[in-house]
Amino acid sequence: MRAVVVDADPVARVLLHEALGRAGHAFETFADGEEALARFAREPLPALAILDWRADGVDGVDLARRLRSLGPRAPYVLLTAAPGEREAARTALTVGADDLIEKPLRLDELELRLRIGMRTQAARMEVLRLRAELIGRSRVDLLTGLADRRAITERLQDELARGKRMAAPIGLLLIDVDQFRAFNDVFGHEAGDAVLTTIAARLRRVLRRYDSFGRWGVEEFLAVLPGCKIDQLGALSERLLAAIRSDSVVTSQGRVAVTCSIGAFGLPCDAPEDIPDVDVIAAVLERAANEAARAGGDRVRLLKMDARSDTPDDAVDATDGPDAP
Amino acid sequence: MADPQDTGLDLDGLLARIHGNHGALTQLVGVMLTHLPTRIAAVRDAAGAGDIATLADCAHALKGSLSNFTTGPSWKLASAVEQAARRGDAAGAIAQVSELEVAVQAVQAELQVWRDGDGA
Repeated sequence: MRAVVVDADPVARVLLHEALGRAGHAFETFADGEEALARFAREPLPALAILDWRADGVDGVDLARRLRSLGPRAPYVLLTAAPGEREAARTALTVGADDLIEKPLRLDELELRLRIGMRTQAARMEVLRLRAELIGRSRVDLLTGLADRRAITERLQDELARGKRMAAPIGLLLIDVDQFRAFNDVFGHEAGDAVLTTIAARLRRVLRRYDSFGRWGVEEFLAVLPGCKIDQLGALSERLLAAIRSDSVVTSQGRVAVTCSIGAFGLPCDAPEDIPDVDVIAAVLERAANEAARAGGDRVRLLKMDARSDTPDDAVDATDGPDAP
Repeated sequence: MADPQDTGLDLDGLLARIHGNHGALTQLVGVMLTHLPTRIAAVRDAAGAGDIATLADCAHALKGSLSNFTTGPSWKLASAVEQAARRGDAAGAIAQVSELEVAVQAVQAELQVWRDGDGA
């Protein structure tokens, strides 16, 4: 593991050098706390920081607090202090230091504390790794709380399989936020995130409990509507568009009006062998949503599979064409 | 106050704290001999300038270095100077600096003898 020593006392630095070297750790030493903080800002954080209570440049409490503010990957902080500084050093423990060792340093005690520190830090890093892994496995989009792309894709596959088995119709909607990229560029990601979370909540309120709904792309949502007939998709889409535009969205940059474009696609499932796979469906939905956006946005483009064909290119424009509901 | 010439130097104790590593002890003594003049000069300069806050910090730093080798008169005087300076007793702090210098010189001399002699 990598360690950093911050101590103005050259004798203490030699002792720490000896202890860390014996334990096989790579380390750097600083006499000045500000220099160490500047290094932390430029390079990956060390696993361990051994700080003297009275390092030059910045006191131990402030240094410990600033290190802890670096987030969950902050190093394990072992503070060194003279016996008379114990009370003040306890303050440092409350604001971010992990352990305290008295000077003059004894190598045996120091090595023991280093071992504890390294073990603790390794456990912390393992917790962070497991947390990241759990988030990855939870299949929840962290911003909106909806199913993420992998999860909604799986639900789509499940519904397609069920539709085939039950010969039940499935409605699919790809909802694309109009002008989102430009909005993000102008107002920033924080405002963009507010737009996405608000739209997600408004859409969720209109959809039925048993509809599956997830985040498909940066500014795209996919709704999988089991049992929804093709001739119901247009009206449902209009209700969704109305819900989105019903009120402006509150963002850090003020209130903004937002609209969406919807690509709708209906699968009658009355001829199970004609049902395309997920990639084909996704391509059709994206084509429909893009066409709705290019036509000015805030509208729906409804396509349905031609019963006489099994290719997406033969999908019929149901909004403008003769098959429109 | 204790005899400043009685340094209370405890190199055996330091050697025990570093697993009996004689090479490391020699290195520590060398580092101390290099840095002690700078540390005591900083104390002297702060006292001369009447800069009590700096005097407290410099006395603290000197005390910290000394603590590895001794808790004898030099360490006690450095501690007394620091405490007096921190409570704002400028006269009391500055008055002890000369005595501290003598005590530190005694430590330096004894460390030098050790390094030059059989001890090293």
